[in-house]
Amino acid sequence: MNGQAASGQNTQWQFYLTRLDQQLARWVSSRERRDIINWYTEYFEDAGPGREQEILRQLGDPEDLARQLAEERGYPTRPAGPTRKQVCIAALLVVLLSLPIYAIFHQTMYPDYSSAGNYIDVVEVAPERAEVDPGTAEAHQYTEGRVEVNIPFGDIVLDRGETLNVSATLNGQPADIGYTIDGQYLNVDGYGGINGEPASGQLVIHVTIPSSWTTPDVFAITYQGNITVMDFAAYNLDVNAVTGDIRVQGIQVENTLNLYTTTGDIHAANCSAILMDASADTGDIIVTGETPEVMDLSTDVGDIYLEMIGGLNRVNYEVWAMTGSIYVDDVQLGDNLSQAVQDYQQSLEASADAGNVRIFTYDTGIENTL
Amino acid sequence: MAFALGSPLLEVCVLAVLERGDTYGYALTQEVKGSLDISESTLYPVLRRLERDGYLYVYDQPYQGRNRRYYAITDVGRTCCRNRREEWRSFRDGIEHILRKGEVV
Repeated sequence: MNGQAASGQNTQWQFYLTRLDQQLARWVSSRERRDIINWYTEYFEDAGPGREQEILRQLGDPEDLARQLAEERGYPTRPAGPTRKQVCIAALLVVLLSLPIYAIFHQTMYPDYSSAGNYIDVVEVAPERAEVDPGTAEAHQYTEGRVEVNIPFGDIVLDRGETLNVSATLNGQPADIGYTIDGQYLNVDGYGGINGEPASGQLVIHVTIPSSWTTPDVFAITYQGNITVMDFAAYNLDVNAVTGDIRVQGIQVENTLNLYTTTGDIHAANCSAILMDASADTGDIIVTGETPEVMDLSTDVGDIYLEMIGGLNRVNYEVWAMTGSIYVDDVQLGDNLSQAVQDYQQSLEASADAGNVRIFTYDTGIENTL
Repeated sequence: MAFALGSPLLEVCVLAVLERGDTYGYALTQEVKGSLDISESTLYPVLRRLERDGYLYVYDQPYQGRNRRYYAITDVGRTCCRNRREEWRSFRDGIEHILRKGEVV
């Protein structure tokens, strides 16, 4: 889709809701998030610009509001307890640990993710993970550093190299964008302008993180532009292109990989992570090659393409396309398609309200429609 | 204020507004805010609860090139509103009765 879709000026409440959405993503499912954001979007639109400041003041800090909204829905949000993602991770561990038992006694049974009792067991199984709250200070004890790239417009390119490098071009010309660095903490904040002045045009920011920074917590956001991340390693990687496209390739994330855009597409190739959460409201989601252990993919009107290498043999994928279609290939399965279909129905929760769900393999060309 | 505005009270207030006709989130909030000290985000969870329990339903209607979500009361909602109104009146009368006695003494 169009990576430069948003042409109008982003208002302050839109920035606020983007922040709120990011915070909500720590705890709340993508469907509920959409519901909440729709409510506040409509509220600001109906209130009009005259009341914007007053309402923003009343709503307060987006993180506090997100926490309150999450707790009202029964999601645990305190660092002491597990987040939704940790519950997923822990549930995965329990499912993996119990697979041999299932294989012998309950071959056709579906793993039960729903009972509260299961969740409690799980936390006990994986206490070291349950203590981590991704994206907060508590997570920092597991990371070497933190990288934040936050720009109002322009493209972001992130990669790794020998030494730290932050460079920018504006309309093809070298430009100076300020940044701060403190140990392994890098902050590139584009709000100071280019060469110290407000600017507009085609901006590209290229950030190279030293390979010696083994597992930084990385957060990248642009409000109008595309984000590309190549051959990268991080503890958590949070990418929000708001309206642009996201391309991530050759990514090793130790914990969670979050990819968000509203009108752009998401391409993820050869990514490993404990959990990948990709959400594109109107764009397509294309996931190829190596896939993370747990994936939550959702789009409202786009399509979802999964071209995996043996990924169908794993557990716990959630794939939602409300009006689009879902296509699943697995290049490794060959003649084992019927087994894959069985596994698929057991492990992959897929829903296309108005479209199709299809799976097939390259080798046999057999296609199954669910 | 020293007195808490709990969910049952907020729910009956919302239902009472909807009894007079369908409305959308912002207008509903402003209507209740006109009489009570609530914040801009107070009513969202209240509306969700009422919808979940079948006391209201929602529908979208185009408005100036976008969709606006309207809330409408159901028959169950009307019954609930009637009952709660009665309960509130007897509760209020009870408190009033005690407070007046205190004033006289």
